[in-house]
Amino acid sequence: MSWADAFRLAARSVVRRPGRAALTVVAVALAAALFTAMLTMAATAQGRVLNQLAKGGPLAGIQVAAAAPNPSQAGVDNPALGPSKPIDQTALDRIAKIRGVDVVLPVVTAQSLVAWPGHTATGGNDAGPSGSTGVVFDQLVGIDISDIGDFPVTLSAGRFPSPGSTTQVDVTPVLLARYGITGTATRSVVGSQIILGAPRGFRSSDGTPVFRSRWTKATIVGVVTQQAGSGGVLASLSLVQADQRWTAAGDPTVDPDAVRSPYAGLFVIASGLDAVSSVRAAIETVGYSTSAPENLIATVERYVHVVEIVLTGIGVIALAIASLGITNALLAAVRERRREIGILKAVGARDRDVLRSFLIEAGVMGALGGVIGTVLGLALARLVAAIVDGYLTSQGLAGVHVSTPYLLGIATVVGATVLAVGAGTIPARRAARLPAREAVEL
Amino acid sequence: MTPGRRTGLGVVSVLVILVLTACGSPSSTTTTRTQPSGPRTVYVAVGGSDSVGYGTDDPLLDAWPQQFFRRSLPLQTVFINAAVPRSTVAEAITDQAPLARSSRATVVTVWLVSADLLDGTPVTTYASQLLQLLTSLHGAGATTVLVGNVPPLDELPGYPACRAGTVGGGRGLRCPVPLPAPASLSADVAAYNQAIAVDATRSGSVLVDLRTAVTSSVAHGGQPFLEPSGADLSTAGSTLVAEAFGDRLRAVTRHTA
Repeated sequence: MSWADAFRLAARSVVRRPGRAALTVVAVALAAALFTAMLTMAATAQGRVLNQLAKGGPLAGIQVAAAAPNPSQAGVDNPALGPSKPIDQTALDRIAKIRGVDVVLPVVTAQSLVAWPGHTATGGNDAGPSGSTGVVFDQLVGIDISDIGDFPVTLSAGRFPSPGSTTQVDVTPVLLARYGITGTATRSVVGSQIILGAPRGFRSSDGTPVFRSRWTKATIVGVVTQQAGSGGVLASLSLVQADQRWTAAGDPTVDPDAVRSPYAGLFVIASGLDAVSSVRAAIETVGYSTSAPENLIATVERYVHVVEIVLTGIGVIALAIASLGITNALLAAVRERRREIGILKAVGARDRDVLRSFLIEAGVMGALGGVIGTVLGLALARLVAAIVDGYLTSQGLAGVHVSTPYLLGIATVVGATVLAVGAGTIPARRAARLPAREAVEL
Repeated sequence: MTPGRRTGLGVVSVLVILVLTACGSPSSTTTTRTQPSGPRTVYVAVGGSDSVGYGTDDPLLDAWPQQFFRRSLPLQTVFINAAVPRSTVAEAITDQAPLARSSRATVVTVWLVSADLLDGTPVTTYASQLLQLLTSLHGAGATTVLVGNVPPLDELPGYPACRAGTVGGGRGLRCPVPLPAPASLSADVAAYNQAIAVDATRSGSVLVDLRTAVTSSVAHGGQPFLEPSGADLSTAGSTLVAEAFGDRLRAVTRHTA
């Protein structure tokens, strides 16, 4: 029997029993899909964890305060601050040039009156200017919204302001609580309009001190908890910088407490976890107090190795499941066709002809199942990614992007074919060695 | 729970978050890009006690310029209230106009009548100072200057009470005692309004006819224009003024468009 005859025989066998063949292909496909999907997701997850931890990210973030370092607090994760010290562009540039610094993200704060027409503040006279029940004193925190993923900010409702927007803000539950809005009711504020007033101290022509505010309207687009800066309103840099400049330009004899530092703080991302300590030391040499969760980082690093082992284990389990599925399906197929083997041998087929025919059939079904499974697996991975992406983007975090792992696809198809041939070898050889009469009688 | 166990839980939480946030490049859908917009409107209010909000329930929120800003100007407007209590036009030229200029105001409202009227500033002096103020605002780049005239003070309920000296006045401008007689006050109001109308036309400003708006409101039984002391605008009165300025701005904007 030639190779062509063996192919023809295998094809005829598949056509004669389409249901069984389809079930076998489906079994292989499901196993291959599981294998592909789990490996794709595990590899992507592993890549992201390593990216977040080994190459920087929020955990490698160092907060720089507009204050000198306190010598007695050296090496402390969250030290008590030294004397106030403005952070200007020169200081920012110097810090950006420190070795091991990946990126420097400025944080701007501005004093502000927050007016919410139709709402009454519950904090009494301490909450806002006397004679006003709808206005409270608070601070605006400005960050570059396009880098929001690098800041310690968590979205609990709505969305983040658009980058550069001067009319959209997020508010914190702390600010809402001052208006008596707590719990699930905080979600209802999204879409409301608030009025922000940055004060500036003036001295009139007769020497009387007066305050005039720079008022702007803003729409609340989300509710967040944040540690980027001290304040109840999170907004874009451009919005807060305009207010900060207005206040800082006031008469210092009228408002000596006005925030005059161009930057209230910096968020410095180190190039890696191991660089955090040295970068902190260098920033303190420049003259600013820093804080970073170094102890937590060290512990996380140890646990990362555990995560790697777990993710690798997931892939191995998927591989084992795939092997079992293929073997089981082909064993059943071969056992079913023993009578056919007997007939083939009775009409003159040799052992190796029967073996070849079965191996070709197993290989074809393995390859077909591998192709279908790879496609299904990638689709499954993308479906899961879409769900995770929806969650992440709703939280304002970096979304999911699953690249197409061509190498994994080819490996899965080849692997499924080899596994199918391997799984089919033992039962095929056993069937091939069966005497014709015995095979027919089975 | 021991501190070590808490730390362990914290670490596990961090890892879970990191695994959940697993995957490659930052998504472009995390935020919506800002819609392109035109240049910002900068609105500066030039005025006296009424513009500061004296007499209203919540001066910061109820002052008529604040209401005008909230209701009649676009979302992307910056508003600065330059008003100073008891300010005359002469004082506004030195105390308030510079702020409007330095802020590069595009919309300015001017309502400065009470202090000059009740201080007895001659109408010719008032007219020339007002013209100087309006011209300087236009010269500084303000594209729209709205100037309000004098409401019919002699027809308002606070006037007779104030004139009789039974009420001492509000936190801002106190009622001078004795106030002019009704006929004299009416003549003064008419002369001031004539001067304001002429100055508005000569400077290219927009006249906001508060006299007609208030008269109409009183005729229709509207809320009291003045607070009980009779010296300051009530919250309802502030709303009425804000609406009158808003209506006029909309009319001008429609006409220009």
